[in-house]
Amino acid sequence: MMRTLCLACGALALLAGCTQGALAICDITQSDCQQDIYYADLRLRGDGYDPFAGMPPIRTISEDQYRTELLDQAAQDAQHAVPQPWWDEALLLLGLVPSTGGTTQAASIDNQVQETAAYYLSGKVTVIAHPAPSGDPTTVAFQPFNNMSTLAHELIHALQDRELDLQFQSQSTDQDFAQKALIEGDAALYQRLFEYNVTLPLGYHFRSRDPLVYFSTWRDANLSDQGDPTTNFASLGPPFFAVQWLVYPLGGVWLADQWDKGGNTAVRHAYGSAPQHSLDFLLGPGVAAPASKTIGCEPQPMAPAEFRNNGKAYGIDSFGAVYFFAYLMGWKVPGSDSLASALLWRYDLIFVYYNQSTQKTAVAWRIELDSPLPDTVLAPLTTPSGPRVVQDGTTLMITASDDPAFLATWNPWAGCPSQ
Amino acid sequence: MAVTHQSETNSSLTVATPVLRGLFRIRPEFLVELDWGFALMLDSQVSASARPGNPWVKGWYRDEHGPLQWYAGVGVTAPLASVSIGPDGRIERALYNQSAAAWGLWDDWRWTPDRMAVPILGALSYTLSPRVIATAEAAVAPVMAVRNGESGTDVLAQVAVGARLLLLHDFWLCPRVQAVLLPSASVDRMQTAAGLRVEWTPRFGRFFVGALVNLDEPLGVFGRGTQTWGIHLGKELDL
Repeated sequence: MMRTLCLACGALALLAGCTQGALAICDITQSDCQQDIYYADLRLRGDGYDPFAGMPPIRTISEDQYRTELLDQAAQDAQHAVPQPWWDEALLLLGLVPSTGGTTQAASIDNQVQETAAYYLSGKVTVIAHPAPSGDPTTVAFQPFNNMSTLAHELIHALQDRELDLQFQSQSTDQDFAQKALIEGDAALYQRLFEYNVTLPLGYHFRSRDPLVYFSTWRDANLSDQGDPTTNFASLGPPFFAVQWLVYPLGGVWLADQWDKGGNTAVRHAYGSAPQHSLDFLLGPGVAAPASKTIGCEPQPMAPAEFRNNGKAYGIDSFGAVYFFAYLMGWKVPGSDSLASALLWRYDLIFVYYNQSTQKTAVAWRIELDSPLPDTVLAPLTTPSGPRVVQDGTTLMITASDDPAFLATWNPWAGCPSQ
Repeated sequence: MAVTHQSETNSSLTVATPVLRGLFRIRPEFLVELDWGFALMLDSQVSASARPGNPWVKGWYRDEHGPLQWYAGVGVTAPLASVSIGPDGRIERALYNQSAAAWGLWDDWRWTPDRMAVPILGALSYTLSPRVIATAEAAVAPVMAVRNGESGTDVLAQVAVGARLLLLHDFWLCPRVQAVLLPSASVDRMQTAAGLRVEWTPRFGRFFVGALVNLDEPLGVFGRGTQTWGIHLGKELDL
């Protein structure tokens, strides 16, 4: 009988010692491949399995169907969107977006159709079936790998959806960036770890298997105005939209640092101590968040009544350090100076006013800094055609309007001195 | 109590799931059982978490005919297990998932957050000889979503067969194979596991130690599963 016991124990020990090899390249439109990727995500996160959640529904659609859905969605959005011409004009006046027409949207949808392998929305994953690639051998070899990687990312969002509030309501654009950086950084981290578990096409290998190195390289490229024109800041689009891509590398760096230090356990705990400002993501991990400042006053009511909505500004927001960085990059401040200046951000408020009768906009953006910007940074900002930029101590005041006569007399912060 | 430990790159996680059970005899053939599990976790950040499982009350009827003993019962769980959607959501869900995995998803309604269940149970044992007893257990339970964004009603079912083999005086070897039919949302509908226990049954109670290995997907050591196993320890005292 003791022999039976020993044999049984040995069998259980052998079973417990089973290991798995690398994932083979597969076609993400096939259910077996989708399940392989889902299980790989579960193993990488180490959170176990919730049988009541399972894998989210995955539908596969053609490129044409996806294009039709995007166009329909754009039409619906346009129909239901509440127009906010003051914000459109304010961003234009600040140089954060270009003045564009309808062709941009068509180009953008075509681009989206080409670039998207899969996406997660409202509990469902959609996979886009692209025709088999041809031409560049590297592209041909890597497309299935890249598709698997994208699906792994989207399935992480499905898992997050049962843990985090993905429909969060932010208090400001700055806070919105910070929350998105956490969510996308988390998904990007596990996406990268997933990639390390897939057998690469023959002849290819990873330069580094440290996710922190990967995300740091990505971040440095995206924050640069130099280097590879396909990965630098300008390559991401107009400044206001380019910032939205930074959630991946900045969030990735922050979470990869946690993962490097303490694996999945540290990442799980990181949600509770995640930064609330984009500044913290720009500063990077391991740097204590500096004491923030406040702005205790609104712009002077010199703005005529018709520029206000029931006595209030039409738009109020806090953009945060990362959008300040985008502003500086938009006005051609060198990348390293833009980053150093953005790291001086301690708080900001932006007020947008609008004249309904003349459809003119005025914007006042006040940024509290840790120390004044150097003249080399101020010089490119103070152009005759651009916003009016005034630095008073550690306060930077940016005003702009498409009503030159109004702007000439407007001194919004006269009653609100610098700190 | 079941314990599972997960060692990964740069981190580790240990989950213990003590289950308190009390069995009360109302009449010789009628019994009431109370059962409440707790999920405890200690991780490599030296952080401890604890969450309640779903308390479970069961009524049993039992009978025997010669070497055959059988039990039939019905129970209901109270949905105390819950996951908050927020910064702690992942930790809490991982805790419940790992707790259920340590038992091979057996009696999964004990650990399912935000849901309640009405399990219908049956068990039998057949004494083949003084040294060999064959056992079987089965249950089926509708599981209803009650809060926190969960929705729908699903069915869980489970069956196990095993044996008690007398090793030495008071020492029994108890192999067991179990299969759980998972909800329709699950990628794979079946979770099987193999377990082995050594029981010591002195006059003052029953002690056991054993291990359970999940075999197939989603939690198993074979295929694409999450490779989870559990060490089971227990003590029962007659009061």
